[in-house]
Amino acid sequence: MNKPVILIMWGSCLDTKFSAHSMMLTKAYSAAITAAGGIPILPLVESQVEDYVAMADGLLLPGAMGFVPRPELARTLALERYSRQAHFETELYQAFRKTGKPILGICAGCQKINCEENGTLHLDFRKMFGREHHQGVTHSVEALPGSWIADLWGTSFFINSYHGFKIAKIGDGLRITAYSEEGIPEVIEHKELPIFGTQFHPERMRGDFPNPPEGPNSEPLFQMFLQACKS
Amino acid sequence: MKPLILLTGEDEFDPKSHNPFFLIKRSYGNAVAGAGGTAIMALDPRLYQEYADMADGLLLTGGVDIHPGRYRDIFMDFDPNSGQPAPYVNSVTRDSMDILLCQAFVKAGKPIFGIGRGMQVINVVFGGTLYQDIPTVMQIEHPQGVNHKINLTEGTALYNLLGSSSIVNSFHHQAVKDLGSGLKVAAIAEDGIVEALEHESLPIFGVQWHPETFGTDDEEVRIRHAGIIEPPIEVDPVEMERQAQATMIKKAIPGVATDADSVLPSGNPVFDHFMQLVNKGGRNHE
Repeated sequence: MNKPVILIMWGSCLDTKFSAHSMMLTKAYSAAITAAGGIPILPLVESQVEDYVAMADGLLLPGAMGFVPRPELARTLALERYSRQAHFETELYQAFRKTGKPILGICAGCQKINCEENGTLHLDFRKMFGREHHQGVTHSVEALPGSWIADLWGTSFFINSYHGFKIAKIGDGLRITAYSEEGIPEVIEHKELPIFGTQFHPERMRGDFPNPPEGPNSEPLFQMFLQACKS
Repeated sequence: MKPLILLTGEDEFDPKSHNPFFLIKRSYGNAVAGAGGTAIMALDPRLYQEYADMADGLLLTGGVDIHPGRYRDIFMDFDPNSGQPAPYVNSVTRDSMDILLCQAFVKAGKPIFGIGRGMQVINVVFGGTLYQDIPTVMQIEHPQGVNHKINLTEGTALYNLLGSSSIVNSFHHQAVKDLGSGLKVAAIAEDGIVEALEHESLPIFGVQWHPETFGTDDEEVRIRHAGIIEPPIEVDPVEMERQAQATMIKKAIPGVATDADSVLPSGNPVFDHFMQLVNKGGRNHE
């Protein structure tokens, strides 16, 4: 089969009918992978990391997702996210990294990459710095010439923004290749390995209803990632 | 390498964030893994052929009602007795996902296992029909969340597995009406509701009950959801600090496990039967 298989990580949630522990994935991620010519799959069992690494050609770490049917179960879900989900994400990341298979992190997935490479985050930087980067605010970024993102979209372009955390210290071997006007890191890449991260949501920047409408079409970004997964 | 089992999930929409999303209960993947398979979920109905090439077996999971147009029926818009809107939810995109995958796996001769809605999908794919609501159309009570007895049909694989009768759980309001071609009833409830189906010659079967809750905390979670609210959070400053630290580095909180954290459930007879079919590679059924 010549279509690359892309493993997409899930977010923990509770189902509407039974509040049973479940996993979810926003369709925009899988649709972007299909459109770029890949086969998206979701891993379902934490103890099967080796099988997943063997069958997939690349890993997509998506942004944070959650669905709580009743507010009093929010703490149950938070514990789930920072126990089994975080642990499984770490195991997948390290296993893919070891084989040299490409990894793309989006939003929280980008922050996960940074943390796995010994970087740090600022929590709730909106209050720390008085900058709103959440709830879909649209802004422009400046990218470094020669970086993968500048090769795709040039050195200045518009993006969406949905994050409360930001990268503080950049991880070992990583470099920041795009900043917002206020100096908030927006794109990272590994200096040697095929590891990429975006703080914004490229999966929402394609199709008939791109967000933001003034931003570039993100399909070349996913095609670039899948091309890396093929080789 | 272990056999690869493809699962289908719920197809939902979050009104708050306007995002359509897929969802699957952990218990399905865990039950497959406990029986010896590797579990993945399908994420795009347009890739049914690729998924059918890739995976060794298909598990159609439970969920919302199938659109009646899929079995040549029309919506029962109103309950004829009360005049209230008919009680169902459906997802046309999920229908496409399940039906396209089911057809592709049938064509490939690979094993298919349907649970709840999944059994109804198998029936519809083979040309069968459904009762749209058990209490209003069939005039019988088949309450959700109440375990009941089933009688198995002699000569079926499920009879060999479970014996002449068994007790099962029940979470459905629709039921099989006309049987699809090539299918036979493998189990029936005392009130006449079809509880399991098997194909006469292909490695395909389905059950109306939910065997994936076997050996999991799903039952307990359901009861909690029904009546008991979680106790108020007692703030332990040391624990809160530990959780804040983990959040900051996006790593797991050391030593914290949730109530869903359990060993993989093994020894589930229905899932073991499915994996035996998969291990035979879809050949020599029965």
